[in-house]
Amino acid sequence: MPSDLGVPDILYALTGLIIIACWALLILHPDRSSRFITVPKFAVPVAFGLIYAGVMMAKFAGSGGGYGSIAEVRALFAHDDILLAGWLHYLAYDFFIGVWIAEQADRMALSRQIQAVILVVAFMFPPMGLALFLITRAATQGLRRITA
Amino acid sequence: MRSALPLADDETTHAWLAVAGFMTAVVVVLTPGALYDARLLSGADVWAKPLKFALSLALHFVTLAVLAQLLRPEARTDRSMSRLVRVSVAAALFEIAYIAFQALRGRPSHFNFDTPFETGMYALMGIGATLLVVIPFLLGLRIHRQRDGDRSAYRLGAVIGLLLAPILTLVVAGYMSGVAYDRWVGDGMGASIPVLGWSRVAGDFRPAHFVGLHGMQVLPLAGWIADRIAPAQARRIVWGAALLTVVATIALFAQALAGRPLWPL
Repeated sequence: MPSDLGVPDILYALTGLIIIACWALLILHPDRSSRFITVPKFAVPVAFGLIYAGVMMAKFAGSGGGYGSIAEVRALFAHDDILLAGWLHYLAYDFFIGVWIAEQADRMALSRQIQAVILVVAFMFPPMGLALFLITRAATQGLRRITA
Repeated sequence: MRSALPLADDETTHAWLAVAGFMTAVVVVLTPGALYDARLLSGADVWAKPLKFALSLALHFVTLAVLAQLLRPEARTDRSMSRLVRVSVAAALFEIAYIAFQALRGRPSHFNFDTPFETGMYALMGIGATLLVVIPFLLGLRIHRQRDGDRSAYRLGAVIGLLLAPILTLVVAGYMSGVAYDRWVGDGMGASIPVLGWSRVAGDFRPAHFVGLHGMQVLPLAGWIADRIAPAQARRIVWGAALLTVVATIALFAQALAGRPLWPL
């Protein structure tokens, strides 16, 4: 193991591979009730959440940072292990929301083509993807209503 | 008298309305970035193009959903029609996704031969854009071939609009994208018409592109109005509007070729 790679670097790479596989399955798997989606939907937030919990409970108090200002948040994330925990927070929540978007999109019979674009945006720029989906849904239902 | 609404509750209509809903959402989601981003591309805000394309595609797909109602229900949802729908959705998503992706990177999407990737993508965009107008043409043919005894000017306007706009568009946009390789004749950097972004200092192909393409909305609308206010002359009004659209497109195209702006400084 190269000496400049610590545990956070390795966990970062590993969780990255896992999350990419999960998103690929979410976007490409034809059946959303498959275990390939229903299991990661809960397993990813729980597993990543437990790593997060371990780091935060052990390191938060001694970090010298907090949530009170941008400077405090920067001090918090100056520690690589807390930075990794924050990153896993993103990955876990984003994927959970991604599955929710996919489920809701299926429910309104939104084509898988449009879903794929929305989910790719939700993977890369998550809040933008969620907004894109919610506005797509509202606009589509609005269009259906005013033309019905 | 033929009415345009209500829209039917079928897969084709839903699929096309959903694209319009999605493109509307794209406009909303990209607007904050457009307001915050100071980068320029070919003299325009980097996000101007994705916003214009998303808006235009939203209108395009609402038009398709509305005009598709002129087909009988079974003809609207048969297998070849759903193939058509899938291809049109894929083409629209590809265009907007790549245009937005390039805007994010601050790179041109059209007329960009800088790298092998961008050259290839520009060619693919040409195919996508061609499909986007070929599909309305095929829809127009389907409506035309369906002998249903409907003599309304609305139906006539829809058929002519769906057949004519793609031809005008392929000529103008085909020349712009495949012969001139530029939106301008001359150096169009500098003053432009607000919102539309057309040059005020050089020839610009986009006014002709705009008028030709939007014949798809103008002609059915002209027919729909004519049915209501001048039923005896309604079909003649549509033919007149079609002629006007052709003449205006050719005139604007010729003006661009001559290197003259639509609205000179």
